[in-house]
Amino acid sequence: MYGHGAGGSGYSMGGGGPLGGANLMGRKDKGISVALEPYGEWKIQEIGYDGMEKFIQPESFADHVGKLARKIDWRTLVDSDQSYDNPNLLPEDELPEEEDDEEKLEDETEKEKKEFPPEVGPWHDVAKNLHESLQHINMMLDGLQVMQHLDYLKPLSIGDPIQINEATQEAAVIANNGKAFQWVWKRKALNEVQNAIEASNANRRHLAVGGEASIDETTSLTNLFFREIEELCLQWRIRKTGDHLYGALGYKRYGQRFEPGEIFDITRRSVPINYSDKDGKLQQTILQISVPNDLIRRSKIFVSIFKDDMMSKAIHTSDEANLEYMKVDMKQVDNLYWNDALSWAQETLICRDTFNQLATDAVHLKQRMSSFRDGVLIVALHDDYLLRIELKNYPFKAGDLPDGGDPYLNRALRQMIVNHHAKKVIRSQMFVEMPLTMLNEHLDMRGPNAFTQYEIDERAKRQTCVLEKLLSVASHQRLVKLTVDTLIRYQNECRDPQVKWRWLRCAPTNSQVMIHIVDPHFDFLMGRVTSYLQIDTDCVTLRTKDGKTIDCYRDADRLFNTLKYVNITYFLQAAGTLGKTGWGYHILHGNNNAIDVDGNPAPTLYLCNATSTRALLIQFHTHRNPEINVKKLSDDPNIDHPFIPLNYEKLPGKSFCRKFDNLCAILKD
Amino acid sequence: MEQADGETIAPSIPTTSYQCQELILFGSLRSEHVENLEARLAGLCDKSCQEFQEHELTCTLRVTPSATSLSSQSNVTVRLRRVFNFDIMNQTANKWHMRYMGMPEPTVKCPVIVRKVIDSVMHSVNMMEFIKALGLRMEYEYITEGKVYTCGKIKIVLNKLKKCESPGRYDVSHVKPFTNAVLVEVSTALPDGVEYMQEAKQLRAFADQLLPLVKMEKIEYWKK
Repeated sequence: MYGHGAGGSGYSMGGGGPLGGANLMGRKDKGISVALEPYGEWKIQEIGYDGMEKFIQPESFADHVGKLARKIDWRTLVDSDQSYDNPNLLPEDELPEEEDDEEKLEDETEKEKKEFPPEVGPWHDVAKNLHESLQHINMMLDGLQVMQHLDYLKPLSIGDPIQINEATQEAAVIANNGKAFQWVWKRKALNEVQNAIEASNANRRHLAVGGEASIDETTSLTNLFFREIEELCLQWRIRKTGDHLYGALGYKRYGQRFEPGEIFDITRRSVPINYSDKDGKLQQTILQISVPNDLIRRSKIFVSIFKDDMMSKAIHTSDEANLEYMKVDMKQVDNLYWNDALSWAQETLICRDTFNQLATDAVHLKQRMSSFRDGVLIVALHDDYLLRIELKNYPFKAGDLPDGGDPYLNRALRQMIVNHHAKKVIRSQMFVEMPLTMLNEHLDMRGPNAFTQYEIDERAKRQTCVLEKLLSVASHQRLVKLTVDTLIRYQNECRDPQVKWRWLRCAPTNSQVMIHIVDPHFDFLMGRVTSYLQIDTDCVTLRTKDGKTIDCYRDADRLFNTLKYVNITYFLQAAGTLGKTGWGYHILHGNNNAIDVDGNPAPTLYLCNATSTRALLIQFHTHRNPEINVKKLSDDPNIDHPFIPLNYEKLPGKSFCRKFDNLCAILKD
Repeated sequence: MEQADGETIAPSIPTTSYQCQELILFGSLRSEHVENLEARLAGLCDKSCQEFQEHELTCTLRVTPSATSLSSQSNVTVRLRRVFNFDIMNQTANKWHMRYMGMPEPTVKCPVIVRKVIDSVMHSVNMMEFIKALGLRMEYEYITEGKVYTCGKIKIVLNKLKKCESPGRYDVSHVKPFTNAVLVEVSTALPDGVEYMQEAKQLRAFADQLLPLVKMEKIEYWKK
């Protein structure tokens, strides 16, 4: 065992304590021989089955230094952005100084300098490239030599003629495969060439003929198709499933987009057709759409009000002309321009849905008569008036549809339907995290806002049905018409005093009219009397100057009489003010509530002149001229002169105020 | 429930009951891709979305652990929300939304998270004092802004979360975004005690339509 240790690289003389101690002891006692042995023995790597021991040779000094040198991070010593691997990459001015840092670096660069030509001079790059090429050539030469001498690297070219004689059977199979392979690729290459030549020939032929028509035609038609698809995308919802392109006619903002009954198919025509655009120019279209068969018709809804009496026409009309839309010529339909056809089909869909909804609403209506037959829905409006809603169908052809019904009500119905569908049924609440709700928006904060139960109930009311709204609007519209007619009649019949009226507010279910009554020659005394007409959905109400309200309901005559009563009230006030202020007359009595023998209102005014010689009794009537009576007053109480009636027409002056002013002047003394 | 216009709507919208069950899925995507998601949602959802900006405080009532139960189970967490508005004079400034969320139901078959939720809205000028008086302590707070889309009964919320650098100061300079990501929530609410499996499948089907933009997951966040 010690014999192995003698071959070791060194002894540790002063390293371990016990060994050092043994050494000193040896010097003192020379009679004892001490053998110096290294402390570290060679490590046994393994012991064989035959007793052979294998040792690990300890590291030499050079190995030790090498191991330590590997731990040094050279990059941190040389700076990270410097490279010591390839000094050629460095700028020239930095090269020599950096090399001094490390001996190893210096050695490497010296070696490279020996291999490569010096870096100075313009031919440096050329020399370097030549050197590299030489290396590549050497490699290739080596490869060729290897291939020449060894069989396994022998190249087999597919183009080479096949030597069947020298080959084995296996080699023949490979060669045959190679041949087939070669044929296939040759054929393919020939095909490519053939295609290229044919294309160029075709081009030349077309150029010679004088047009690029046929090629351009196919490309332009394809472009037209895609352009039209793009236009279609901008206006309609379209979708592609597999190779099937289709769109939706649906108009609702919320809910399902592609209802099965509202889908139209989009295809491409084999031959484009012409259509005339808005400006009348002829355009081409290649897109073809096919709408659902039940929508191949044009529809319109007409809303009107009529009186239910013997004079009114037949409520439900059914003549043969109405069924013309049932005759559908599919060829003609196919030749329609897609945008027109889609617009018409969607309009039909909207009209049909609207009418169905109104019919459903009519069933739910309470305390209102309604009937439905032959596409006509009749609903009781008020009194003798009925609301007639008719769905009319026309053939699927171009052209303007005939007008009908009341234009205002037609538009109002459309507006209501649009509003109905634009309203979100389910909405998010004030705070995002709260669940979606169908309740009224005002109820979001019902707790903190301290709503009472009544307020909560009132605000939680759901949307009223469209037909109810339509009935309100129609009823209001009829009352507005009635009021306007009555006001015009009143203006025509009663020229004295002047009547002016104007709209204060116009809303679908609530309007207000302001009426001025004035005599332009005496306005400095009387000013003008203003009264208001309030029009609701079921009643017209007059509010007088002093704030009293008179309900006229839906009766035109009653409204007319009320207006006349306002007129004679004006006369009463005018006569009193004029006599008292203008001529110093004394008013003995003025009765606003007096009635005549027929029971109609007939206010009376009794006054006498300043000297008490003449008395005037005036009675104002709604339907005729005022009665003016004059009486002579005597000093003797026993003598009572009778009233002498004056002819109103013969009094000087045109207006009542002028006549009364003149009369006062005559009877002054 | 039947509307006046005759349309029938399934009894799946909670109306009066304060407690409801919420089905929810979570997802996330980077904010630079939000435009694509919005375009997708515009195609799928109802017209018009609603923007929001809210401030949420999460408060916990710490209960001393008893011998029988663990402390983590006894703690009660309540979420407080208000409309985040710098204008103090705004009427919405003092309106608060208090929310308690129950533990998700341990269902394996259901493809979405199902949890009980209690919502309450209140008005107070000194809500924090009330919170303190209840014994609640704030755990954390954040500000969320984004958009809400609806698709029928399904609600889609895009949240961009922001943090307050110093508590109690909500100036623009003190509010910084958490990440460059947008939290997407797809949820639907049902009345308490209603069978939810069909709705859950519908929600899952809707969420799958957002692929590959965002993957909506049933995140089991309660598993620690």
